[in-house]
Amino acid sequence: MADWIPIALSRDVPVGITRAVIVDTREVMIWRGEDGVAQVWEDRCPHRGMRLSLGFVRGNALNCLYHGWQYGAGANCLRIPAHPDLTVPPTIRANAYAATETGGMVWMSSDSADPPPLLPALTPVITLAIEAAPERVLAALGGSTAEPLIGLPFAGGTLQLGWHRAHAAKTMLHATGAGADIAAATAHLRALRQSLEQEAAA
Amino acid sequence: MPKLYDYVLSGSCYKVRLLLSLLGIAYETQAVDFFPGREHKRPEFLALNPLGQLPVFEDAGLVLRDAQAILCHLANTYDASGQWLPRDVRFGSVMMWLSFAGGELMAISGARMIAMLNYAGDLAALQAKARAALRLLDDHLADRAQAGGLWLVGATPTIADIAMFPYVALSHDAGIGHEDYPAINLWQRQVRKLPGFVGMPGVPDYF
Ligand SMILES: N[C@@H](CCC(=O)N[C@@H](CS)C(=O)NCC(=O)O)C(=O)O
Ligand code: FES
Repeated sequence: MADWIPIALSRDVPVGITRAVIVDTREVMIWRGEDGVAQVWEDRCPHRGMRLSLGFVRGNALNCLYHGWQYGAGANCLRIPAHPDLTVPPTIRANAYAATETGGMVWMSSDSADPPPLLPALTPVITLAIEAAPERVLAALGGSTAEPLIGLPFAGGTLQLGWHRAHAAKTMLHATGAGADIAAATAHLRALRQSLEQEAAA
Repeated sequence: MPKLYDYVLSGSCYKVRLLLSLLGIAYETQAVDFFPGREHKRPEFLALNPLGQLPVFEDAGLVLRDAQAILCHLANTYDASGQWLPRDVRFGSVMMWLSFAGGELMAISGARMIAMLNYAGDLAALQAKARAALRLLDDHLADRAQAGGLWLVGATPTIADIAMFPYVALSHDAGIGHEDYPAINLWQRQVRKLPGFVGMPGVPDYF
């Protein structure tokens, strides 16, 4: 998973929210604090393994639901409520991925040696889960599994679709468009979802 | 005082507790030993609800079963503003979602009882039905959001949101996460932020 992967529309991760995502069978979570920066972490609390996506954001910190351990934007643990006077050792940290936002999407990488892509601002349309293998979906939409974006012709323009593999049989599409009719583009993509899933089930 | 026959882990009872709290209605509860006691199948309870199901709500001599019917009664009786059960063009849409909450969405309840309480049943089949219901909801909420709407019907929360919320929030107990449903994730947060919101075990009230 060395490349940059689009995993959500930025619009769907407003300030104060957590969002769970499955990326290539890994449980990943996104959260955004008041500083506006999207964080992408492994969805697992270093304490007892609770899913951090079930936790809650306060200010610029993420609080685990289970025992309230609090993590800052740098993934280090700031506070352990059961030991309020403890200066938490810096070795206690959540597992953060490299994250960036471009083209209206949140991107992650587990190997940030490559620079993130730089895309123009694009209007968010919709994220759709498609119960079909990425290879099938990409082939049907004219994309390539080697590229993180698919250019899908629509109504005289082009929709830019980010995609990621949830698992072998599920593809997530993150659709954006410049100047597209959002409702019409959404309807078009849902129709594609239906035909791709019918094919996959056949 | 109104009385709710209640089981703390029941998502259906939680629908009623949530609206009671949002409307600020004082009530008493009578705990029913649903599991492992199966008190809801004993003659005394069957006299209240021959279907042997929770919740049951007693109010001024009325005995009501079915969470959706109870939500309608509460809104009709205690919400002078009419916001929670609008009597205009929104009425039919609210009823449509109530029916869905007590119907298709209850696949989550079935899957949850198998996953949590070891009830007999086809877990995979119920999970597939639950996913179909959640997708329908996510598509609707995505359309609403694109049109600038936060709620299932109209510009304010209604009992449709309250009937739908509990089993959506409890789907994790049934082995179904919210990864595929970004619009549900956003809507859920709005419900949790309502003044008077209360949670239940598995649904934290941290907003
Ligand atoms: N239609 C009823 C169904 C409620 C329901 O399924 N209740 C469960 C507890 S959450 C129950 O009592 N199940 C026992 C049974 O169906 O035998 C409602 O929506 O209130
Ligand atoms: S598991 Fe997260 S604080 Fe304990």
